[in-house]
Amino acid sequence: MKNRGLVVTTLALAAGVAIYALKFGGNAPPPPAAALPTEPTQGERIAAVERVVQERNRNLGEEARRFEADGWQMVAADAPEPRLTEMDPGLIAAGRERELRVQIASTTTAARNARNLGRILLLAELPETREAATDALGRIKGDAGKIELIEVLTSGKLQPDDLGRRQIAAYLRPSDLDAELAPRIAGLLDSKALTVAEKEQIAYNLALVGLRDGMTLADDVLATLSPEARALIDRMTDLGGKAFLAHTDSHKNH
Amino acid sequence: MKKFLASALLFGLLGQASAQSVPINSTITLSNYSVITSTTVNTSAITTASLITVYPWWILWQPTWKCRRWDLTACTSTDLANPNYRQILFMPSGYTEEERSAFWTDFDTFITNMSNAGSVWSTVKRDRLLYVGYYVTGGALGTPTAAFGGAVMAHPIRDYALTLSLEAVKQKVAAIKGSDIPNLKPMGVQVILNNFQDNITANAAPPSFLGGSYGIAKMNRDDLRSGYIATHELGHAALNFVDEYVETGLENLNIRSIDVATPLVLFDGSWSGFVRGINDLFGIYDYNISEILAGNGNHNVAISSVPSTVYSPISAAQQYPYEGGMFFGKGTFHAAGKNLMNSDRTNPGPQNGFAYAHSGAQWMLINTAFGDAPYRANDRLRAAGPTDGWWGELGDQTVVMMYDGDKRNHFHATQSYQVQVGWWERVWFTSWWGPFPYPDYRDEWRTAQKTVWPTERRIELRATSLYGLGNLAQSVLCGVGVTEIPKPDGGVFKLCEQPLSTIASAFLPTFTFRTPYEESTVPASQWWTTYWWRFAAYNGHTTSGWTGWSSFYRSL
Repeated sequence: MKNRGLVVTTLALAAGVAIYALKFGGNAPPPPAAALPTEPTQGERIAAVERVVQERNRNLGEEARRFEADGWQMVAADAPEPRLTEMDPGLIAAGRERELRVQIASTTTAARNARNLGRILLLAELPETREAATDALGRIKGDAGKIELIEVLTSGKLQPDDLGRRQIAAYLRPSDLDAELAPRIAGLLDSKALTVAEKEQIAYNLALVGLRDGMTLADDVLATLSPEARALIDRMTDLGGKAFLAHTDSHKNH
Repeated sequence: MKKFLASALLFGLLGQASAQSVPINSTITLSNYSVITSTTVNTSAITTASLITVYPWWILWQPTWKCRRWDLTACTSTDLANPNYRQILFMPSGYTEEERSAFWTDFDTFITNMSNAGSVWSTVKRDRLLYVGYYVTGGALGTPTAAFGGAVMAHPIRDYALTLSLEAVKQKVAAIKGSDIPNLKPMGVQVILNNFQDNITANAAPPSFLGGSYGIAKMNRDDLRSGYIATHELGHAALNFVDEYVETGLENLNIRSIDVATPLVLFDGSWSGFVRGINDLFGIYDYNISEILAGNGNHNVAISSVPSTVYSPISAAQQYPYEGGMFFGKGTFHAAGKNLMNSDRTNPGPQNGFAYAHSGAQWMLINTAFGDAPYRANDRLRAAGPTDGWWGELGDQTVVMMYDGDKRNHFHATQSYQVQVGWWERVWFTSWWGPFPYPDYRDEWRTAQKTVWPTERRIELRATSLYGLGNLAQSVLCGVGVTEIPKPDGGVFKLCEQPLSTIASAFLPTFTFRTPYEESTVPASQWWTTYWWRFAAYNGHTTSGWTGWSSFYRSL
């Protein structure tokens, strides 16, 4: 029982210290007066704190002055809203989808937002928001955006003519044919969830990457593909390697 | 009428010239007529004295240039100086001196075709157009003396192609402006090649690809059979429109696929060293060849079904519901409405296909081209990097990159950008916990703003780095009218006259593109700080809404 009381007292003290630390954010005032040789007056306490404040504000405005010296002008503007900059899908339900679309369409997205964009692609009510989400995912450097796009594409949750889906296949380009994602992208050529047009676009991407780098998919990857998929890649490689403009619109038939 | 009689007389006399004769040409310009001594004399008689002697006999009044309205009535120098008019320049290639009168007949046919073609731009606006015909003599097509080097050549892509030196045309326009017609300011130049083959596809280089105030269209005389070729090709050359139709075989393919070549792109010296250096290392900027081709100042095709990415205070967001354009069936979009730049071959419908007409979106630009204020803000914007959340900024400056689909809009190019950079600044103050004072803080939002003026920013794509993509690049560039690549020695590389694969790598060109991207330096100096930035564009009439906020993190 005595030990229990000691534990409670210790915990209470620890909690107090923690609260104090949190409250002052590591900027605690001087130790209690009892620890000082002489008791400071209230005025001295205030003066001490103000010195700290003054010291910490020493560089206040310096960045603004640096900008002004560089020809910038300080203006009033609203600060970024984290829900927008982090592309919170909850903004759709909140009736703020158009703001969300501007954020998505007019910025370049970080990989950390890929998951949110994937959700927006499925949740957005406006076709142009879904389209913007696809474009944003496609422009993300690295694989995170492409993985989201593959998952949406194969989920069957968007119809082939949906604006959010129409551009997905074109973005499924591995950085090279040895890349970790290349087999997964190539495997989509045998997916029943994809349309003929989507498969052609993916095969064209693989063909162009191969033509660019002078490479082909690894034999073990090709071995996993159906003959039809391999033939499609061959056909697209042929198309990509030659001049494509038959210029069938002869300009003479109007 | 006397002019034509004189031409006819000259033509008749020249027709009797002997096989031993050679042409002697010189012109003395008098107003818009020239004293022509273009004639033939016996080679044994070519002396200064004999020339002076024959002058009185052979001086005939021939027009070197004419200015005509849509109804073929003459226009004046005052009209040419009137900024309410727009001008089309018409010049020949491959017409010999004997064919001068034929050129003027073709000029009249060209004007008539342009002015009576359904409800296309040159017909609806015909009261606002002046046609300047300027005769340039020379040898027949394919000969070394053909005007502008005009020729009909077997084409690596098409059956046959019309070829000439775009640079020579530009030099001629400058020379005319510097001498005969100071008020010459064409919105488009049409060169007609003296040829009647019907299996040659006319083509044009839009001004945004040429980098000048006008584009250059090529046609042959067979193309005068209807109003289509002239109005369509000058739709490219004068209005900077791109094709809305799709090539056979590309119906299912997406223009974004050519971004496979984007990693091969190099920033040239028009960019700051920061951009060139840091992008090579980290690839933190977002630029795409598909944007450079299809979202670079052209108005009628976009790479999104809703091209507007930010708010436009004077218009609703544009809607481009029909997919296809710039050869590809996917990834490009155009507005509803059958029109001159489209075709019935792919996906025709009540609102999609060919007509001697224009879509609403096209009319917006046409009206602006003829003097109206822009109908929308330059609202095709994107913060293109550093990639949102970029953590690695070093040093005391950062460079942000802006994508602006209208930076190079031919009729309402962006005049300036407003760039805002913001950060949270910690402000300390004295606070109280009971009787105890302590230093507390709050973060206050600071925003700095700067005007940035656009400058030309280019990228390079070396043909030697394309490997198997060479033919694709050649196809695309020839298709959009990029037929000549300047060489470092001052010459030009004729891109569309032979397959790249047949050319030794040492002679392969470097393609240079003017881009829709712009940069702004930001003096961000605080360590361990996240900075936010956004921008808006001003087109001389309206300022767009802001882009969303993007961030970069300054580490050391």
